[in-house]
Amino acid sequence: MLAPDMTLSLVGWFALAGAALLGAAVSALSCNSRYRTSGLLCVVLAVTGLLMLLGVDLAALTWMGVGAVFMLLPAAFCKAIERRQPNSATPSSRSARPLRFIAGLPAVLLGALLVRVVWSVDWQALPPPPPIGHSAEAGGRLLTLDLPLLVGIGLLLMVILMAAMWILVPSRSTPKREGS
Amino acid sequence: MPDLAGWLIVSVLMLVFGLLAVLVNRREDGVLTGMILCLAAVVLALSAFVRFAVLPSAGLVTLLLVLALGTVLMLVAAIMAAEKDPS
Repeated sequence: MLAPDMTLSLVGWFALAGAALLGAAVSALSCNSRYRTSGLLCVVLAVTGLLMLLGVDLAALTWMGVGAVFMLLPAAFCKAIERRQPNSATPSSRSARPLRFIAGLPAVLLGALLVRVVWSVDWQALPPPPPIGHSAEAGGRLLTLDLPLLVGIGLLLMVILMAAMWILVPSRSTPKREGS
Repeated sequence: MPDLAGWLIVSVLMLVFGLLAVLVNRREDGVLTGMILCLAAVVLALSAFVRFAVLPSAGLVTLLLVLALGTVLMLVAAIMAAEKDPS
């Protein structure tokens, strides 16, 4: 019989994994952009919970920050698509659904192959997981040895974010009609 | 908590959903959705490999690099899509 904390973590793992896979299925297969964005939000939050359950809190914090950026982009695209296509469920898109699912067949085959590989490997031969987490060790090394790398990545991200804002946000000072 | 195979199965299923998003909804924002899902799958698999001592703890640095480069790739894709379809 499992200990109560083990049972609780197992139930939490199944709930988080189910939420992540449900959100991924909705965001991948839904035609409604609002459902897609909601599914992505569910995926980001559930993966954060899974990472915290796994004990890699540094990666969980980074994924949460990156996920916040990720949620802004699909939300912006959701508005743009709704503005461009008010009725997304047109008869032509409905007739193209079988072709779309046939196009997704290679992904399903690849997934079946990977699942077969995962099940065929004897993971029990691996050494048991260490009792202490790796996050503190890796975080300490990041703050001492890999700080220039992180600063460089942060600067690169800032530059690209500013470039994206500069391109995506329309300028108000430019005149609309140059000829008139 | 399940063993490494359980984590990898979840990661593989998320990767499949990401590829499905790219292949099924290619004309809409399916590429961005697929990239997010594939990045989530990579993050889960790398974290599980580090936690179960298949990879050394330096794999966390690789994980952070994957996250940063994935964000850069997402932003480049968003900029290119905005230039392609200005609406």
